[in-house]
Amino acid sequence: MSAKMIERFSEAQIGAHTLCALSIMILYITGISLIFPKELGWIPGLIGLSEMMYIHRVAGVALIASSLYYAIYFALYLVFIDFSPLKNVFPGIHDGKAAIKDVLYSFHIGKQPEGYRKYNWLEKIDIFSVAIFDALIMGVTGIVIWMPWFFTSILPKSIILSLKFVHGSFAILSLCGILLHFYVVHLTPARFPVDKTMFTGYMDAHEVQHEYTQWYDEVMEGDSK
Amino acid sequence: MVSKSNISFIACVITVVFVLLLMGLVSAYNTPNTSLPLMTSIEYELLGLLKLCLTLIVVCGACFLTFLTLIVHLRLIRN
Repeated sequence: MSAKMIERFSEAQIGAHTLCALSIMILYITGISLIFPKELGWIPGLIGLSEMMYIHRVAGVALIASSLYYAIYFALYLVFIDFSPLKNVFPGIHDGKAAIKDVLYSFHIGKQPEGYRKYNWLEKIDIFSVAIFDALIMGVTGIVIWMPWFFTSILPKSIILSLKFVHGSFAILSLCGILLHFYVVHLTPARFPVDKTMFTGYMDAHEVQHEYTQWYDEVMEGDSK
Repeated sequence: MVSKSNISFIACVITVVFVLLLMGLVSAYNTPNTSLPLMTSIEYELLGLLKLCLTLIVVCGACFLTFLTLIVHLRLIRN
């Protein structure tokens, strides 16, 4: 750790996030045009429908792979290193309390909340919405739609046929979630036009002290030992 | 001794194996040139109900996300 910067993300996390972000963007471009063919039909017209679907599936595999990487990494970390991801990444009661305090503070009801731990409640909603909606629901429904004949012996035909609507609906919801993520990370006045933390892996110590006070105290305690 | 970098490497290897398997599947799988069987009228009714539920989920989810954006924005203004 340098004097003014604190390490927030490892190189592996940066790589996995890059893969995840790129694949999600490709999935939106190639997938949403199928939900709104009247408005966005020019996209498959530009690159060809079968080529576009091939790109969509490759991007889907990449997204599942990046999520799988995170899951394996966390599992190995818990087994071989320590249980700190459970405290930092998984939502707990303190996140619920922080969310309530934030909402009250936003409406001029409560006091200014204390600083967060390494990840705040909104970031955890972001992380788990990608894991649950994009990787799990979209991944599973996408694979079934991709190979329906493979699943006809396991699932009723009506479910297989209706999964297309589930896939498309959650895609729209996922896009809304990513737009919120984009706003929080890049478009807030303090970080506009781009927040470099996810690209460099380091965060300004003053920002950490102001925004993530509890994590800052932990890092300082670790440094003083 | 298992370190963080070793864990990253092992997770990366497992993920790459998975990606190669799925990519092989992408290349090898060909959709049969036949259509799926038609649905019965009851299944069409259920599909309509499912679409309604999905629309409600999307609308509620979008409202929740709008609320979160509002909280972030209001908090920024206060700070």
